[in-house]
Amino acid sequence: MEIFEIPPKDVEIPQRAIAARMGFKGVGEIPDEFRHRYDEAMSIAMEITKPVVAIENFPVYPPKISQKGIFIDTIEITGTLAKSQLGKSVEITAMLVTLGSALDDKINEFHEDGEELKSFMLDAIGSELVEYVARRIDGNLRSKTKLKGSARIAPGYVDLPISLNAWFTSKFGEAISVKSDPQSFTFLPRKTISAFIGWSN
Amino acid sequence: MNRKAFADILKERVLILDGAYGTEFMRRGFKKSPEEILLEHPEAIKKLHEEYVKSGANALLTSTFGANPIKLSKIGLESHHDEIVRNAVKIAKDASKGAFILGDIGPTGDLPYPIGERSFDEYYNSFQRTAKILLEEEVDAIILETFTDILELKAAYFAVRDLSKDIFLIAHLTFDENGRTLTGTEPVNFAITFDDLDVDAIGINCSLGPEEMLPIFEELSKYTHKFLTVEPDAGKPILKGDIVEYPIKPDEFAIHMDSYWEAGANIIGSCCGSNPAHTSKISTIIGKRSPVERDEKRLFAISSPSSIVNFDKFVLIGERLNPAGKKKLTEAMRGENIDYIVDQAREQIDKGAHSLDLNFGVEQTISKDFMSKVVAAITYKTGSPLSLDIQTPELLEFIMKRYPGRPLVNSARAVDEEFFKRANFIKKYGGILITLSMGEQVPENFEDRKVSINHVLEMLDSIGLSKDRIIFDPIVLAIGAGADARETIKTISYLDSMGLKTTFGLSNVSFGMPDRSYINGAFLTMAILNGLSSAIMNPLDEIVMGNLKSSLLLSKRSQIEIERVQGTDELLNFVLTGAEEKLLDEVDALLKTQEPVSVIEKHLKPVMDKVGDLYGEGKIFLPQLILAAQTAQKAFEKVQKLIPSGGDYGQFIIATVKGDVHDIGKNIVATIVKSAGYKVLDLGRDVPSEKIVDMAEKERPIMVGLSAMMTTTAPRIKDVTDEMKKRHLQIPVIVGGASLNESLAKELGADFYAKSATDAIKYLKALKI
Repeated sequence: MEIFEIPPKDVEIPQRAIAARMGFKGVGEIPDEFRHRYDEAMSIAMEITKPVVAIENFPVYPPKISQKGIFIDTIEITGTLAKSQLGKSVEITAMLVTLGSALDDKINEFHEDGEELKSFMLDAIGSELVEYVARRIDGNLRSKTKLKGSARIAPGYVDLPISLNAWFTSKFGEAISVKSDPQSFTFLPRKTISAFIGWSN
Repeated sequence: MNRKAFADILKERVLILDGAYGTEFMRRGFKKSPEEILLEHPEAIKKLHEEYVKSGANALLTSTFGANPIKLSKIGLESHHDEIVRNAVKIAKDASKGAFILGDIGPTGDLPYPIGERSFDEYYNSFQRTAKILLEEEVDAIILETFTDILELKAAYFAVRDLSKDIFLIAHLTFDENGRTLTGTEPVNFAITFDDLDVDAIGINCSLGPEEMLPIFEELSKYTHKFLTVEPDAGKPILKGDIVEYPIKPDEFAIHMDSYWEAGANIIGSCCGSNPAHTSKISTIIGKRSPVERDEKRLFAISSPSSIVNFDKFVLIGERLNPAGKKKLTEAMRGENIDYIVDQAREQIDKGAHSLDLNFGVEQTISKDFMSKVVAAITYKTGSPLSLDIQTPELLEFIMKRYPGRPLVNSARAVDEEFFKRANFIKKYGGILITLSMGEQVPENFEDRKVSINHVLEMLDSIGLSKDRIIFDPIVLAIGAGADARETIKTISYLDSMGLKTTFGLSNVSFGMPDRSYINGAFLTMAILNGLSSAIMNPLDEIVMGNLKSSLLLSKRSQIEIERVQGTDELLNFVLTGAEEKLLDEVDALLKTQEPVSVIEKHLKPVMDKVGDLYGEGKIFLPQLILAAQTAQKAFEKVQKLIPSGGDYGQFIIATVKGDVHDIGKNIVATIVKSAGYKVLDLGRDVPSEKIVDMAEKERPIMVGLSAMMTTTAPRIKDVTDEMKKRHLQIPVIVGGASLNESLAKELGADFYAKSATDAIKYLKALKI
């Protein structure tokens, strides 16, 4: 397993993505009226988030007769999405990305203080920041290998079981301080995402 | 039926397309694909077609979704391709009873290079084989469905259109909940890319249920000028043992059809998990309605698969992907070292480039397949749209056809043959053309440039291209060779006054001079202050970048404004702009002449009603709603303290259910409910069901609100409603969250479902207390 931290300021997020996440659909940018509030929220996010990534490559085991999933480590990855994206993989990268718990605390603190817009904006920035950290890692991985990479797929998307998050937590959780709810499989800290990328010849 | 006749019908009425085949055959006990079923049990295909026609479908899809040769080869049926496609059309025609036959082409299931291994030409050849048979069998239209990648869809489009200019052609992408395809394309990008092409209709199908798909469809509808088609799934599949079930039944599915019609749908059907009963409900609701007229927006933008660059803001185009004078890049081009080229692209993007100019140097020494791979690698791996700086017309045409999005093309002079050649490429393959303000001769002054500009506008008009398909280059010449840079500035100013966009190669101005960065920086500032829209420049030059940022700041051009909603009511303006102090001062003034109850009833409450209406009508955005609510909340609290009884309209308890830590939606609803004058008891997130019921029993609120974001936590709602029933608590429950919908809310025992943040207010007001 490899673990590395990424300074949040090194992660470039298109403003269009954050604007859309905040509900400014079809505008493409943060409007002037909200610019100073956005700048303030972004500055807080840059200060308190600590993006950290845990990542490991796993060889793919050949399935036994009658088994249809894809096998790595101790798990079987099932579903049509996994089959289409990971089906030809010789190895699979699993990654868990988190921004840390300080962001959750700050979002909650703003809510408690009646600063709902700041709370909401910080939440939206966090959602995009964690996604773009994952994209950055994704890009780095692709640039360093000669193998063909699949699309990055996350538990809960299409029919990839969200219960796989429990495996991510057991594998990487302790190292980067991430837990998941045993029944709903949601992560804590909240701005945490998991993903697989398959690599084929 | 020819293309025009089909289009004429769509101008008159909305067509009802049939529903799912693959999932419906599974439900009926078939274990194989529709293509295999077609060979082994053609009667089953015909029967399902007949059922769809009987249910009101007036357009049928042929069972050829997976019948392209690449996909058939995966199940060993490639040799049966022609037979499958021909028979599928014949069976559909036999069952049609006059319904239109839409030849169905689905994706190959393989992603393009560099995400996958497929090339544009492999897709193209495969789709063309299928399209050829569909055309020979005389289908009424062809539909390209369920594509997850814009380049594969583009290949399918050209495969069909290159065979026939006379077939009505529909192109679909499929989007996830975040409104992006598997390879990152947004609906706006889809609209602007395919609006340039000679496709008749665009649309969305699969992956999402009708509720989740609607906002994505509405976004598409805002930006396309084509006919619109839509086929939502019957919800997200749920695995129950070995059986896959789709949760949205026909009645619930049909609830959303009005919204699709209002958003401009011309053809409405259903996708995975639906069956003839869904079609019947759609048909009943939509009947024989005429389509609604749409008011589409135009976007002056270029794109890659995953991003859009809009020229309404200043656009920086990186100049460094040009081998001239760069030994390593020249070697990379000749040695086909794509990784090095992509690294050079990334370096510019990291420094602030929005788009990249791509020049291959001596084009005759480079293979066109390598060029195509470089274009794909940069656009997919970095997300940057490209300016294709390719001089040889044949190569430019080859690359434009294979470009995954909407490119910029650099460039054409105002010389008839050269301009028409490239402008026709733009017309056929899409994109925006940089047009030089010069003819055969290098211009000496502004007047020379003006003559060329006017000639370009005449030529543009003569071939039916609009002005938003070109960007003018005002021509920058080297001052070291005696050129007067002020003539370029005059040209920029002239073009800006005509509402035309501009870009130029900045570094030309200082060619042969010392201190080039300072000259470039100063000239860029002059140009920006005179209206320059974009520049092809070096983002690694910190001096020039400093000038760029400060010029944009001084000219107030780095930002855009949203439409202002101004009311005649000052209070409304105060809450919408978050002017808390002004609002409280105004409230103080009102309290001097009016009773507190009257201030709430006659002033604050109507203002928040208006804010709710504005949000419901789409005139303000969610952050404006939140800002208004948090601002008004302070005023309500101030006035309510002056009323002996508290002056609120009752208590509302809200919580996010056990196991769910996503509480931003719950928080927004709490704020909005408070701002409407209700007392809110917020129990927080991850709250055990028993605690929620205990508090409801103790506090006796007028309503309980529950939020559940995840499908895995939605069942906790039922725990709460069951326990409330057990304790005979007759308190209405309203629920909301991404995993829920109207029917699921009912199944979970809730009384109301809140689709948006303001729905809780709607239901609270409707309570008779």
